[in-house]
Amino acid sequence: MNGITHIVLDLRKSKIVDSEAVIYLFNLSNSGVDITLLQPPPVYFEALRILELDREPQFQRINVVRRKTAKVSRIRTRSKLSSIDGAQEK
Amino acid sequence: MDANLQIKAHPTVIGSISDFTYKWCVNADFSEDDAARLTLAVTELVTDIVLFAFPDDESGEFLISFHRGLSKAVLTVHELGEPFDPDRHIYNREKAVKEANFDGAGLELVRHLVDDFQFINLGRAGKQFRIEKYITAQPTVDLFSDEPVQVKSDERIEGLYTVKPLTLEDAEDVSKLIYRTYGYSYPHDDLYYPHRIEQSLARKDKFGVIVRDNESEPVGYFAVIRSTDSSIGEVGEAVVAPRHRRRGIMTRMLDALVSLAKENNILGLFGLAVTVHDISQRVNIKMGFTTTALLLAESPVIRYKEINEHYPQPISEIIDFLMLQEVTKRFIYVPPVYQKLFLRIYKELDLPAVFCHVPSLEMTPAKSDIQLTVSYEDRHAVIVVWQLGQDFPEIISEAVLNLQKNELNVLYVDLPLNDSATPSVVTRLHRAGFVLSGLMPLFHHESDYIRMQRFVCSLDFSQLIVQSEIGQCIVKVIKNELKWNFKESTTNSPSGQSATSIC
Repeated sequence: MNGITHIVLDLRKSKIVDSEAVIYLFNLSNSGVDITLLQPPPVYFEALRILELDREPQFQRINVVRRKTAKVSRIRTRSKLSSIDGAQEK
Repeated sequence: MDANLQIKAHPTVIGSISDFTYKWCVNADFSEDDAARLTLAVTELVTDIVLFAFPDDESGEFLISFHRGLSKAVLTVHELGEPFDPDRHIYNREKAVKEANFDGAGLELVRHLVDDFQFINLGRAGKQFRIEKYITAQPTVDLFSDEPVQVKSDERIEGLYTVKPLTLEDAEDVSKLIYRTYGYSYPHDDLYYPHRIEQSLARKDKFGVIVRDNESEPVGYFAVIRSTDSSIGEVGEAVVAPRHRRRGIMTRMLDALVSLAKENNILGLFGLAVTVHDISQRVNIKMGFTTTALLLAESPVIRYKEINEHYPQPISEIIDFLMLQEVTKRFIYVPPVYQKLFLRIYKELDLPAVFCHVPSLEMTPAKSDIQLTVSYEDRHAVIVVWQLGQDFPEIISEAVLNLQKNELNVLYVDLPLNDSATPSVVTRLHRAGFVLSGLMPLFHHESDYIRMQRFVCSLDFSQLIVQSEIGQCIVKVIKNELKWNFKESTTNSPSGQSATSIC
C-alpha cells in the first residue's frame, strides 16, 4: 500500500462483507489510508455491530456512501468524493 | 430444493459457494437480508475450513448440504480436516481492537446471524457444523398462482360435516382451529402461521383435508407430510375440535387422506402416535395400520391441553405404517434375535420380503457413509447409515458421548436391512447400550431399515399406552433388552432367547 493515501472500494454488487474483509479494513484504516466504501450491503453494518466494532475509530473514519444517497456515476475524483462524503448518512 | 455439494478446500471456491448459497436462499423464500445473513454465515464456515482445516493437505474436501424444511433451512458443513475446538476460539473485542487479534470473529458472526448453530465433533468421522435459520419472508404472489388444487366433491358425515381436500384458502382456518383446540400448546409451531401453511401446500410439501360443520366453521384438520428421502408420507397434524370429538371425524379424515395419498403416488403412510393417550393409535388400527416401531423419548414432554397436563416424562411415540402400493420383493438381513418379530410385522404389512441368512461378515469398507440429523427442539438425534464401514463403532461411541453434552434424550440409528453387515452391527450396538426401536419400512430411498435406540433420560414404561399387539410385543422386547443391559451380562446377545420367545 506504499504511496496510496485513499482507496475506494466499490461494493455495489456485493451481497456480503465477511470477517476477512472487516479485518482487512481494520488494518488498512490503522495504516492511515483513507477508505471509502461505495454502497456496502446492510449485512456489513450488522457484522460490525455483532463484533462491537461499529463505534471504533478505525471504522468511524471510513467514508461510507450508502445505497440510498449515492450518486455513483459522478464519483471520479478525490474532490468529488469529498463532496459526497459530506452528504452521506453516518 | 435440497442440494449437496462436495467441494475442494481451496480458496478459489469461497466466492462460488457464497454465490450459490445466496441464490439458494432466495429460491428458498428467504428475504434478501436473511439470504445475505445466511450466506455470510456459510462463507465464514467455509473460509475457516479452507484456510485452517487442511494445512498440509491440498486434496482436502468438505461437504455442504442444504435442506429446506417447512419453515426453516438447515445447512450442514461436514469436513475431515484436523481437529478443532471452537471453545478455544472465542472472539474477544478487546484483543481485536488492541492487538488486531480477530480469532473467533467468523464463528461469532455465525452464532449471531442464524437461529441455531451447533458444532458436532464426530471423532474420526470428522466434524459437522449445523446451521438453522427460520424463513420469515412473506410468500410471493406467484407462489399462489400455481396450478389450481383439485377439489373433490363434498363428502358428508352424517349430514353434519363436510370433508374436503385442503386448499390455500383454508390456511387461516387451520391456524384458528389449532389455537381453539390446543391454545398455544401444540408442538408444531408452523401451524400458528397461516402463511407457512400456505407455503408448504403451494410447494406440495404436504396435502391434507379439512372438516367443516354446517356453519362452515373448521372442526377438523389432518395432513400428510411428504418424506424428503423416500416416496412415503407421514400422517400428522391431526386435530378435532373438542366439541366435535367421538363422532367419527378422525376416522373419516384419515380415510380421505389415504385416498389422496394414493392419488399422489405415495407408496406408504406412517403415523407417529403418542403413547400418552390411545386416540390416534386406535384410529390407526381401525384404518389397517401396523405398528412397526416404538420411539422412546422422541420429544420433550408436551402438555396437551385437556389431555395430559401432568405427564411426567418425555413423549415416546409409536410408528404405525400402512402400505398403499405394491412394491418389489426385498432381500433383507434381519438379526436372528428379531427375526420372528420382523416376520410378523412384514406379514401384517403385506410387504414382500425374503429373510436372508448370512455368516457373520466383517464390514469391508474403511469408512462409513452416514447422515446425522440432530433435532434440538425434540432433543433427539438420528443417524441414518447409507454404508457401514469399519469406523462405525467409533462413530457411535462419539455420538453417544455427545448425547448428554448436547442435552439430547435419545439417539436413533437406522441400519439398512439390505446390508449383510447389519446383524453384526446390531450386536455391537447392544453392547453399547442400544435397544430395539423397530422396523422403519421404506423409510430411506424406498428401502427398509431397522432402527436401534439409545436413551439417556429416565423413562417409566408403565406410563406408555400401547394399543396394538405388535406394539406391546415391541415394548416387551425393549424391556427385556434393558433388563439385560442393566445386568451387564458378558454374553454376546442381550436377549436372543427372550426376544424370540416373547413374539
